[in-house]
Amino acid sequence: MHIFNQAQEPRIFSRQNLLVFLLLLTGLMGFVFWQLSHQYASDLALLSWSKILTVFDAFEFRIENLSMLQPHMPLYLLIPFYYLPGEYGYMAPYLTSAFCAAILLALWNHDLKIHRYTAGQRALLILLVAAHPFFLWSMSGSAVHGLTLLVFYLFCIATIRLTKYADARAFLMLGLVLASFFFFDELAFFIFIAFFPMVQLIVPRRMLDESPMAVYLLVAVPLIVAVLTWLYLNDVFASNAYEFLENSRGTFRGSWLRAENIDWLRLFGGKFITPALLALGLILLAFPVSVWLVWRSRRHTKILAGIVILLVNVALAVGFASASSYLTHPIEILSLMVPGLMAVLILMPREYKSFHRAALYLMFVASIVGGWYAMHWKPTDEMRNWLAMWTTSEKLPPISATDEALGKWLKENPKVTLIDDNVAYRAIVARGNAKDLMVPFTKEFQLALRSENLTELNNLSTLSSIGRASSFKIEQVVVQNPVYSRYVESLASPEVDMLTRRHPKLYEKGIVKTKEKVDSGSETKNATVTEKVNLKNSEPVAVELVYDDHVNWRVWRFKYNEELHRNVVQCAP
Amino acid sequence: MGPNNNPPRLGDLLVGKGLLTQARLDEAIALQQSSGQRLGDILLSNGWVDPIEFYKVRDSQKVAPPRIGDLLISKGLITEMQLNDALQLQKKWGSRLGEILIAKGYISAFKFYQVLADVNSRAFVNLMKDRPDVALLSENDIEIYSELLVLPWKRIGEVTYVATANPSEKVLEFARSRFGEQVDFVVTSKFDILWELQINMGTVYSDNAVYQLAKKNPENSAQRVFATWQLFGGVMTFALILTALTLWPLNTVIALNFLVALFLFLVFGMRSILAWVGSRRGIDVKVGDYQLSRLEDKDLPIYSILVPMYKEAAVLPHIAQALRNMDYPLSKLDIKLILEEDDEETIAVARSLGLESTFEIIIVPPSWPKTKPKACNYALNFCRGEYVTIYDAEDRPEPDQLKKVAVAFSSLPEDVVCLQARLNYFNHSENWLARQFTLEYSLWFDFYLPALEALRIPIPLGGTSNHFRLSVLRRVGAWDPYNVTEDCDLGVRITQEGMHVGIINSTTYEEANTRFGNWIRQRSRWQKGYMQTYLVHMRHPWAFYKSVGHAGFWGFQFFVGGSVLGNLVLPFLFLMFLVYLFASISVVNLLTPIFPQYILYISLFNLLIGNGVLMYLSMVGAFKRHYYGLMPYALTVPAYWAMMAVASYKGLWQLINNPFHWEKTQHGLTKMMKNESSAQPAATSPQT
Repeated sequence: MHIFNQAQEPRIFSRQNLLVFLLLLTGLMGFVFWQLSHQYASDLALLSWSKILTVFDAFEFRIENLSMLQPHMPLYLLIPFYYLPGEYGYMAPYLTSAFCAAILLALWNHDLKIHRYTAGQRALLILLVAAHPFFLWSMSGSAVHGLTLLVFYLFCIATIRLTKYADARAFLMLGLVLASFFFFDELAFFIFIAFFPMVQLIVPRRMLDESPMAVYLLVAVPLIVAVLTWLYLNDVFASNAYEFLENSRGTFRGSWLRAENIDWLRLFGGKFITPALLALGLILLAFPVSVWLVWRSRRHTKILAGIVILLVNVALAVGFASASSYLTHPIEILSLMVPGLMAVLILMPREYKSFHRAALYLMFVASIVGGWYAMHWKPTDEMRNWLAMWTTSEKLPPISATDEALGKWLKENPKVTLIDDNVAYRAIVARGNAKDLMVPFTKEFQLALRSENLTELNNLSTLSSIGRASSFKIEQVVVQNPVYSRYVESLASPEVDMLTRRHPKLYEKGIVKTKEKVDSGSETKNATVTEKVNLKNSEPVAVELVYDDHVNWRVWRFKYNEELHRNVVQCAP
Repeated sequence: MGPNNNPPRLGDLLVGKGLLTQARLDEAIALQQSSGQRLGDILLSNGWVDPIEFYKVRDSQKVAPPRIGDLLISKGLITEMQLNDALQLQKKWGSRLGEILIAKGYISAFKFYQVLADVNSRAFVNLMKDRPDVALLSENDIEIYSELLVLPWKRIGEVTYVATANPSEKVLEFARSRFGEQVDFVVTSKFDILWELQINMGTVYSDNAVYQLAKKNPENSAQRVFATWQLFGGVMTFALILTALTLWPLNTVIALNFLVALFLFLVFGMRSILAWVGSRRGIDVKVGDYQLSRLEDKDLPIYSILVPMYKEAAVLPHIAQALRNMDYPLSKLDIKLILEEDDEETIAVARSLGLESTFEIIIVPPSWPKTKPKACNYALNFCRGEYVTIYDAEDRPEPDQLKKVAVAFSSLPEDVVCLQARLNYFNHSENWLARQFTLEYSLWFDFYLPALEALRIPIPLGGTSNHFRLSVLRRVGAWDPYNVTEDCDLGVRITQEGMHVGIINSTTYEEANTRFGNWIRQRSRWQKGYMQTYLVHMRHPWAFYKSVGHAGFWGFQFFVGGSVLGNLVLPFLFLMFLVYLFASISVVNLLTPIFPQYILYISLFNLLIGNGVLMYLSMVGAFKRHYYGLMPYALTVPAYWAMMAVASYKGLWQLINNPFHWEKTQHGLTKMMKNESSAQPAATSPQT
């Protein structure tokens, strides 16, 4: 995969490149460990890791249990960490992100080498790029965002190839990258929408004159296929093709649910032009090197067009994402300027004069400084924590102390537990595993939602698709405080959990048994009970509040009536 | 020199060299005086002098024989201008003058050979009137007859005469080796020789055309459709599946579902890899303009072109014109129009067109199976070129194709014995079917085949524009007359022999089928042929694997086998998809048990990503040809796939019922061809 004459390309898989990659990986992982030593945590990273735990620790493994509400590919990359011994899996998203970022830098090193940059020049450039706060933040500050940087770099390279050659391979590359992008990051949608109108600036005029539809189809069809695929998968696994868009928990919706709590969306949510212009301003602040590159390429139309397209693409994407209330902060998209500018350097001829080279390096340094300033402009909570990490040696406070505490408690009390991982994911990560947790995709949880009053939850047989039966006796249920409202700007969705929503009194009153009158001739009130209970002989079954943090979480534990061998529980009317 | 400075006399020269005694000379002179015969005739007919030595001495006489060009002018058969033109071309092409004059149509072959006889001081014979003695002909020598253009004619007295269109020492050596010292030659037209060979040796040629491969290499012949073990295995497998369905219906269906899903996944993977590799820039550019510009015509070899036709009188003028337009020395083209004996209409049109002598009509006697490969095998006996290719009646090859191939063959290693030109269609936008056909072919020839070459996987040749080194083609047994995609089979066979097929950057434009019924017939034949090819080469899987290697073996499975299986299972998969989309939940739930988790994931991948990618590749396939206007039609390619499924089942049915039946594709249906002129202008002189 390269934009240059393929007959002259050095091999990409070589010992030298491998060595460079390992060096970069070591450096980036070192940074990640340093960051984690400050107990920094990204909410989306916690959500991602908890998904892995719940799906792989479940009784039956099914990929669709990762839910169709977020792209799957970043989750798949975390899978190998599940099999590592110990409870260090929570580092997986950061390490994977660093891994992808190392690949990105190593790939860039290879491309620069083809472009005849010396080893020293390459090392300096890599250092300058890696030191940019937007790069560091993306690589380490969120969930596998290094992967997004890598894919965007490939997208830029494919676009450059399209500009240079406009051959079949260029279109194949671009199509493959765009389609894959959708399965890696929802940003693909905004990038594509911003890029699409500019296709006509890239492809040969002859193609456009002969068949403009063909050009746009070649560019659009791969992403359309990807989107249709996702729609179909949602239809198959979630019984609603638009589930990933309609469900408020979906990451494809971004931060719209918390728009009121997010500075950026409060100011610019639903708007397009202003955020796009602001984004341009932030680009100039955080990446003044782009101005230098524009000036240097002023006499080269194609290169100049490439840089302008990059700038406009990113700015417009910010505009679109803000208009749909997706973004928590423009840095989510502006960080793509880093791989974009890396690709621009590949497009441009190498600077031969030392003066120009020095100026380039200086502009990169200026970009680093500008980047730090840009990051301090309306930062999110996570960004604040991340920035604070640089100025203090103290450990950072957890995103949610209550969730962490719950997780530790659950670890000390490993029982079969009903829990909604969509809101309690931090607790699950803190617990370290998801064994015996009955989360929303399990039949037990679904039965609990369907039940009028959480009846017959013991001795349920779960017949897996391969015919193994197992029995679960639900021992406790984790319930979120329905009135708790959290001011968070995290990327995950802090909605009230499903159990509380379905059974509003559950948090307050727990599960209490009441007598049920059965008149002869009349149907039992609880039609879902598998066997009628002779309530005249039944005894109250107790439940016990075993955990209460007085803020957000309670845990109710069942106490079974051994004589009856069944547990009949009922919410208080 | 004699005392009067006259040139020495022939008799004296012979005596002087010790080839003749004085007594014999005196006797011959006496006979000359009494009979009026020429001295040479007397000496040769009586066997008093070795013929070869005689002609050497005669030619060494200072008296130069008349130049044939001058003779032709003096006889008023050609003009000065024509002679000058031919002489110029002779310098350029390196051919003999006579070949050039005949090829350009300045003179008929019949008249030229008459004059050639005069130049050689020999008699001219019209073999159609003065037929050869069949007792002198030998089946063992048929290759030599066509190679040297010689045919034993008659024994007159003690002398055996051979008729030749190419007097040379080789001819005389051959004649002496067969008939002893007392031999002589007469001159005849090459067309007479070809005609006589077809009449007298037609049965031999025909038998060879049909049975040669089956006798020489029965394991590679599709004469036997199924190997015994294949038949037995197929029946047993079917029985096992039925039994399993009876005893364990669900698990059996699940197992079959899994195998199909996995296979299709691997087929998709392979095609994706092929498309990626094939998209590399310059992957199949073997011959550039620079190399062509440095090529000199005189370095080019004779090129044989086979044009098999059946009931294609309407398109014959077009292929004739297309071949005339080839940028190749006419005198070095050896074109065979191969017609079936019962195709009277096409034969009549061929004769009426007055085609140049470069075109030779080969009439294939009736025999079974009546297939194109059999006809080509038959005609191969008459080919004299160093290279040979096939063109169909509707083909329009790029004019420089032969030169490109010649350059490529000369620069590639010897083990590259075949070069496949790219095929595409000149009526690519005529209707929806033509567009789909063009998209398919573009992807196949512009992407897949170059990738197969790069990855060393056997290449299924296209039905036309395959260029071979003729000697190698004959050695491997040429085409299998029983295989209706003989081209695909031959490509695999060549690879098995340790040789290679390459792709050349030249295109032959054909007529895309524009009618549904015609398309189904054609495609069903191709599918049947692929099935035949698969069955033949999988008779000994292990031996096949060892001969083509890992990549070749698996490439064959997924490319040839995958093409067939994919089309056959398509209707079931489509049906399940439609049921899911439109049927009620209760019906859909009936399908759920046969899609356990792992199968469901693979199947969903195949359905969504696999089909999406293949559809996209159809779109990209037209890229290298800049057929941008066709690309949007790729979105409707699933309908085309459905048609392929229909054709596949027809092919499967025929494989069982009528395996060697050749579904003839009707050509000349395109509006483009109908609008063009129907007759090629007649040559300046009719061929005789």
